[in-house]
Amino acid sequence: MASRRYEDAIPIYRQLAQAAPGNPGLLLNLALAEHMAGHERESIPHFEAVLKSQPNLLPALVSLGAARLSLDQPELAVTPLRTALRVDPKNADVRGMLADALNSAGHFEQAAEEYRKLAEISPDDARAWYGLGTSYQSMARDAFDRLQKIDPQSAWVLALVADTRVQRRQYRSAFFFYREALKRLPDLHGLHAALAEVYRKTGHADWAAVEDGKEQQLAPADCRAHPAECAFVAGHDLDAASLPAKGQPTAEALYWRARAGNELALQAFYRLGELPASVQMHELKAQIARDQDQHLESVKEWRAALELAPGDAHLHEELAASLFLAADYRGALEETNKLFAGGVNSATLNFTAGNSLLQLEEPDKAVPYLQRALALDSGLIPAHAALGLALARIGKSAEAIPHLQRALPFDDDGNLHYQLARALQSTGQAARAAEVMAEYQRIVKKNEAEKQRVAEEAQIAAP
Amino acid sequence: MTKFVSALLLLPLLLNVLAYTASPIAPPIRFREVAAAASLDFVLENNPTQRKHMIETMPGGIAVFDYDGDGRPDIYFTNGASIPSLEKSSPKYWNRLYRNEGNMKFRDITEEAGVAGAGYSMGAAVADFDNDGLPDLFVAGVNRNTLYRNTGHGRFEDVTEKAGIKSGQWAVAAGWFDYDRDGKLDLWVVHYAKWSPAFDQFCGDASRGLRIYCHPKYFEGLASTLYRNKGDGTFEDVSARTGIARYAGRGMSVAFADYDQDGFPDVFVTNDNMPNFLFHNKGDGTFEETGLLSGVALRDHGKAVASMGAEFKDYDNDGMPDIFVSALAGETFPTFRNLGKGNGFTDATSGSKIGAVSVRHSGWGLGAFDFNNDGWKDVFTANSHVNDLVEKFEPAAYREKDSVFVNEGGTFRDVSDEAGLASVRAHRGAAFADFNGDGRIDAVVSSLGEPAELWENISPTPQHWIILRFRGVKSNRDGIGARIRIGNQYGEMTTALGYASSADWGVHFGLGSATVIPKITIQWPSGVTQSLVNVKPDRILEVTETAP
Repeated sequence: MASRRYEDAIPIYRQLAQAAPGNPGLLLNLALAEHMAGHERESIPHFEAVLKSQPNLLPALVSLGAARLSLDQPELAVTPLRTALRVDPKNADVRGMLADALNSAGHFEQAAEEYRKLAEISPDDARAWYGLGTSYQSMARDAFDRLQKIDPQSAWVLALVADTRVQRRQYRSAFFFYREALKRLPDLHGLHAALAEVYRKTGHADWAAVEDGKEQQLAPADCRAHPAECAFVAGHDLDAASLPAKGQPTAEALYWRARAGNELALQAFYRLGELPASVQMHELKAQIARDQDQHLESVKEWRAALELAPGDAHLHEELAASLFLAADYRGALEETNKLFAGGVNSATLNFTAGNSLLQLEEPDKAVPYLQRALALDSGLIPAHAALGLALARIGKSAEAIPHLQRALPFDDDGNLHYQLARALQSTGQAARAAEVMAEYQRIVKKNEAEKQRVAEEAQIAAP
Repeated sequence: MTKFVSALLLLPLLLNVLAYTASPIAPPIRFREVAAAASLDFVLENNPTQRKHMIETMPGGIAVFDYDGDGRPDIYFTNGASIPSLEKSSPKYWNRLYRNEGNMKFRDITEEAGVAGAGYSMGAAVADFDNDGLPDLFVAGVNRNTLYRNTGHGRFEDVTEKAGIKSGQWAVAAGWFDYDRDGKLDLWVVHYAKWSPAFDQFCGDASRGLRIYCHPKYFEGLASTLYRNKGDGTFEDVSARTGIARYAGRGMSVAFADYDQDGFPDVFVTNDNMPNFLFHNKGDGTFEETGLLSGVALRDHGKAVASMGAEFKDYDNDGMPDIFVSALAGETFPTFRNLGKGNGFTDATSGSKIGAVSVRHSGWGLGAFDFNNDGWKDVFTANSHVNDLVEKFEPAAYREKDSVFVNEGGTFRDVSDEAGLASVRAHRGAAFADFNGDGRIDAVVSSLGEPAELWENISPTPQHWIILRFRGVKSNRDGIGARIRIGNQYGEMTTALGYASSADWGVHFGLGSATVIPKITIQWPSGVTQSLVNVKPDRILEVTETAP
């Protein structure tokens, strides 16, 4: 163990543990050796056995939590990590792990609380601020999802969609959604100010001034009826983000929770930005650039992150994804090959490699990667679509058909219908091909009409 | 014994005759740039402005034709204009005609020929529309087209109004063909979109101060116009009557071929970020649009691409015309193989390997010619992205070298570097001809804001060739639409070429090591079939249509 030869240590500890079955120390060492060697599944029952006899044994608690996190079981990691934190409340690493587990398990508010404490203990720790920001972001996203479920056509949803469009610099679209939201909620604080910002971004300073004026003229909200709005306007974001402890939250409450969550995330990221360059800072910038479709910028940030954390598999995977999105398929392929060489293997990685080869017009080489991706995750729909196209390109239309059919329900723009129609045609199924081609044309026509409608509506006009 | 000797003597001849039917290893292709030495000093003035008008990205069509009948192909360059006036306010905006003086020397004779033009010009199309034996010139432009009649004295006369083809639409390209086979050439004009200099939409990234050319989706497309030649120097617009007026696209180029071999020329139109059109000529004076069903509207992935130049030629020597398209980086240069028997086309971009060699390039000018004379048509593309700031948004280059892809028996390999295509520029139009009469096809390429290039073909392997020129009698005088078969090679007489350009009169065939052509079959647009046997290669052969 001391010389880090964990694989060699495992059989020795196993023998010792069998020879002395009641010795928790030997069982713990066996579990630790298994954990350190990457045999997480084997280690878990051994940690649990140790904890049965010694429930507060810190190394066992922390390692069990880490093993659960490695296996992508964050919910199961929470309990041992919470116990560990009770045993050693000042342990920043354990708190960070707990916060990560809570965030990954979807307990965003609790995660934010742990990150916040961590940031108080270690204000220079970039991981804390990054985690805090992402947990607030997730909280906001969760609120938006819930809002969409309970009132998808509401002005609240429209206003939040508009905010997203601003983040993506899609100002005409943002303008349209803000205006629609304002039609229904003319007194809602913040919408006129947001419109003013859109005007400023698109070079209409005079119109922006008009909207700013309208915002200022709004009467203060009735704080009894709209407490979250008042809290938000007053800058009390945590209060604005809180939901009633009992009952279903209203659409309005979810709206303000989403707004406040985003605001809190911004504040956390601002603190992150004040720290020296960190992996987390570059990761954040890379994500923002990706959201704004600035993929070359995103690539630059992932590369910068990798300079600070060389060999980090997650960063390499993200870099590969951004290279692909930037249409640098050769670069994406090189990254995935590095990861494969390092022993990383996942469905998404194989998909990225296969799809890159497909984009590079090497369908014969793409096929094995895409098949591997589907062997690892048969529900990876984009891999079905890509494999269908790759097989059709190498003349195996009959084999392509089931993959294209599998992906068909997700065909928003009709392309897969077109591909399927061509594959059916080339396998002699003319009648079915004609049906699918007709459906393709119907989808295209519908989309064109919708685009036309949006284009007409989304013109930036005077207030 | 005597018979045995005779058979042996015949064997080498037979091998030589058949050699051009197969090409196991393609002979090298080599070019050298000789524009300056040839006194070809044309600069394409697209007049780029801060407002990023779409028209600035698209000029540069070139026509190659023997305007003075001296047997040497001359070169005509289209050129831009001032914006917003769209006037050729300075000689730098003139379209230019360069006379081929022989020995790869050219002389600018624009003024004396009277073809400096007017407006913001884009494309050119040449043919003898009045059947007087002199090639005439149509210039497509932004909201203004010009038809020049060749008067035969080294001068041209503007007959646009007289001919009845004055138009206020933005035309990019045009082509001549005889759609109704009445012996008179008709004119197909490809329109891009509705546009005026007042258009001032900001596109790009305002926060980074990056203004770029707007995506084509911001422009409402237009239908092509078909002008029927009435034979008296005037034309009638038959777009509605023929059924083509219903199809609005953002047209970039036009190519003609009889893809279903029914004797009537069909029309392929590339569209920018919209499905391409294939207008099947029904033979009754009307067309039906079959692009989608024929499989040439879109690539196999079902997405429209920025289709620009087009060539409608048989690349795999199966006797049926296929389609090449140039497009932007990441889109490949789509290639559609004709399945024959009315079965439409299949996307052969991957199968022909042109996808893999073109995927990083953005192409405009395009030519499918047999540059190494081995009997297989190679592909030359004039490359550059449309967006001059593309490097800030994606890993593509704005200025690029040109490309040449050698055809190795139906699949293509990129040989651009070894061919010597080294100039990195914003290339646009390209035209091709044997400018120095050595049987090897040369290339002329225009570039935005920079001098044109003249690529002399110096491919080293001696190969045989023939250029067939046609004198129609019942058919149109240029023989446009004539279908020619030599062995398993197939060609059609057309001057429509690549991107907004016009090809020299005649059809070139590479013959490999064949020292005799056993048979040439010509099917004239009139329906007459004519055969020539045991033809000597390595010459320009003018064929006059026989009586039916």
